[in-house]
Amino acid sequence: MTKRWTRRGGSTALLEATDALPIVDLALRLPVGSLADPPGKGGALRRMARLLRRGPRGMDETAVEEAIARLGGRLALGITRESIELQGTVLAEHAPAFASLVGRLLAAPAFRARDLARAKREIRAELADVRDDDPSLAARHLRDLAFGDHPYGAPTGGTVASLRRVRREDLVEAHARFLGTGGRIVGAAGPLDRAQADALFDAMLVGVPRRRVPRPWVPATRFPRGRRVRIVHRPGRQQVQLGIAALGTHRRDPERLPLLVAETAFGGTFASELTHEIRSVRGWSYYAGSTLRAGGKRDLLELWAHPATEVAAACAERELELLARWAADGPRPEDLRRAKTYLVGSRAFDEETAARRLELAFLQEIGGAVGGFRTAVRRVTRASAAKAVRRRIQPRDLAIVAVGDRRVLRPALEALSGVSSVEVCDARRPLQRSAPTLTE
Amino acid sequence: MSDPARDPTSFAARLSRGRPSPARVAFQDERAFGPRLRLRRWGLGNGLTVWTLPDGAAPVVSYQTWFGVGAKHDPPRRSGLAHFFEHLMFLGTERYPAGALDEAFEAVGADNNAMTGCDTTAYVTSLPRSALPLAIDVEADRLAGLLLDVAEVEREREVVLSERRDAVEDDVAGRASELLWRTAFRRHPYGRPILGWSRDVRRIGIEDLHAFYAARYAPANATLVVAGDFDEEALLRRVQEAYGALAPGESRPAEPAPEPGQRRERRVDLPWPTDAAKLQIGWRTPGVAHPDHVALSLFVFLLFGGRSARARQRLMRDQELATEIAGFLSPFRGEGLYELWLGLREGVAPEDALAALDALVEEALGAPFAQDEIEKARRRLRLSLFTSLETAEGRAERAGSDALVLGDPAAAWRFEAALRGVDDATLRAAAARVFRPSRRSVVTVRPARREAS
Repeated sequence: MTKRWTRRGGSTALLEATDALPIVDLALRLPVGSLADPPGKGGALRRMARLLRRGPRGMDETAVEEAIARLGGRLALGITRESIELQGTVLAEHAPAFASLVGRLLAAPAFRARDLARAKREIRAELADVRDDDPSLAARHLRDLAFGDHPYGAPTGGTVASLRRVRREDLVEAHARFLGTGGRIVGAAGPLDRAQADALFDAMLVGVPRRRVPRPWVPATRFPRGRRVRIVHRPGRQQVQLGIAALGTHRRDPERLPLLVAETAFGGTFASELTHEIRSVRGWSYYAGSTLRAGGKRDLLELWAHPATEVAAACAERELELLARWAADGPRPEDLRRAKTYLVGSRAFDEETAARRLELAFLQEIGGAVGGFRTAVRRVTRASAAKAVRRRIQPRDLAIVAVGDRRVLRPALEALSGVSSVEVCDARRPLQRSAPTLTE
Repeated sequence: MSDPARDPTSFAARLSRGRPSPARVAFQDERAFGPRLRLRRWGLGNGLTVWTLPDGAAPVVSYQTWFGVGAKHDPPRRSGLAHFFEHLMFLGTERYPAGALDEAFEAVGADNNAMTGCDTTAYVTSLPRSALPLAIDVEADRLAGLLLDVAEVEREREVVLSERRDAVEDDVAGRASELLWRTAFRRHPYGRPILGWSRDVRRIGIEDLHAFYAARYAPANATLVVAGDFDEEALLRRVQEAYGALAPGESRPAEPAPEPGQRRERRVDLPWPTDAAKLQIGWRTPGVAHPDHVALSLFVFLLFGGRSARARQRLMRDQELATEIAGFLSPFRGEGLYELWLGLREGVAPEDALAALDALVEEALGAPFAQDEIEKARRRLRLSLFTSLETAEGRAERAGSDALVLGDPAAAWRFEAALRGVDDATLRAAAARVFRPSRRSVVTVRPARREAS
């Protein structure tokens, strides 16, 4: 059972006590992410987060990494659209020293000019590496095509162009404004009692003053009419990374749970309709399935498959047929029954370890987890699932991205049902926000 | 009443009373699995081995079947057979026809999957505790009566080829790794890909599959590992009923002859449509049971294994030659590789990066490691070990692999204890035996001319 309390200063604290193994997990979530990047400076907050671990005054990056490892720890500092997240795991006997180290990193980063310059070069090189990674390339292009200039279309790490505009003062400003933001959640899992956990949280947050920060205003997400196709040209590829996206749901949508159950029945498991048809019946793709994302605003329902180039169009057409049928009628009764029992039964694995229970408790705090999950899933009916799908999923308005050889793909994808536009871009060109791709 | 924990021998005798010989169960041994848990080994009369690792911390069970057959046993011109067959094990039996097996597991909230390695093949099902009988029934059923329908086999062959395109043919790291192993192992089957060469996968016939099933999928070549929240008596009774009528079959296949020693560095180029060169380097390493394995694990962590590793600091941070460094020490029974991947920055010549790497390795071999640096690696390896054992599935997987490859399912904890005994001299002596240019193969991925878009 997760213990929850409010700390002096207002942060929410969560604890999962266990003595299963001599390790401690520590987590911190700040409710502000890349959506708060200054205009035109996409990637600023991610870079700020990256520079936190380059060290405070008197401690450079090498010393920081050495200190983390010497405590038998590991630390991840990441950023999503809506949050900055820190997660650490450490041998239990070194947890206090680890928390103090984290506190030093958070409270007073040096933001040295040389670290900033190096981080810029690193991120540029990493963005160049994405061009060798077809699945990542496809995912970036799918969001870009789906949301256009809306902030949801922007990569959390920014683009080459936006990163060029980020200055040291942007990072200092972001740190001063956001690290102490209200709505912080801290959590721990391991052989700890509440007093020990509080001592760790104190050490992590010492020197991080609390501030009231307005949340960035984000407009509603919308999809243009029609099925828009983008081909990302990779000459000579034998297969295609094929992504199809529709506008889906948001975190606090009352229909999110029935939609999740319906999506699990459609493409969430091996036996689901989409996966079974594309992988088992047709033999077209090793992977085929769907993912339902949910942010503060409506995010994407994504369908992914990796068919061979010569069957990519047939695969896409079949996926569109299945999607249209599902959107009109909802999940098939036998699929829905199985999806419900799968979600109820497999919940035991989401709760198996203290670290996983802590993760669920974090989700619960931000509205990303449904309270009374098992009961709520059991209550979903075919009618409520079908209604949620009908109301949220519009199969006529889609973004479709295919990373592969345009010479074969272009004529084949132009012939797909309901396609309103086809554009082609070169996989080597960096993603340009607010700039058109090469349209033929 | 006898109890499996207090008096396992009498307990086994009670379970065997009135059963035919292949279904009788015997207690074989017991050992600690870390400070908290106990592993017990049971044997059925037909040769099936069962390891139990009970732990009531969470209401889940992982039920895993490990076969002592892997890609290294694939016959010549049939590379990929063990992996292809692993896919076919999901195509069904009379009781669970194609698709029904996935449906049955999903209906109870279970996750089931499989993995083929060089030495072993494993079927992994993790279930809520109440669904454990389903896993026993399905696994015993497909061990006895798998259907190999020709049309289904052909469809699955396409899925396997799709997996190969995903992992190898359109993936530069996958392609480079495959080429590295082929270069390093010219005779031993570790040089052939687990997924098989495409032409060999296309060549595997239905008769090959039937012969493979008959010879390799039998109780005498199978080990069950069950970890999590379950009642040992109920489990073993069910296993006796489900597996007890099966004939023992052949035991483990013969080990292939070892690869002859390598005397010179081997280099090969891989042209690829990319903007930045990459290096994939493999040093020949001893098998996982070799006494040097623990010291090597520490050495590669110190050089390549994390954000504080010397290579990351030097090649990525100071010299800005690489964007990515990833290494992997083979956990194989026979000789394997320490495989190192260096993704280089655009414009960096691979020769320069290799020279910088050589200097780094030479320096590490030539000067003692401080005691606290070794302690750092020791702590991080302990942390990785502990986190890998957090779930029932993680514990069963580690125990299963170690049981088959090392003969000891608790070897993870022996490894943890052995970390304490490694000092600078042992560490560098073990590394010096491996990290020599004459023991390595190098694949250089060179940017190839791209077709204009």
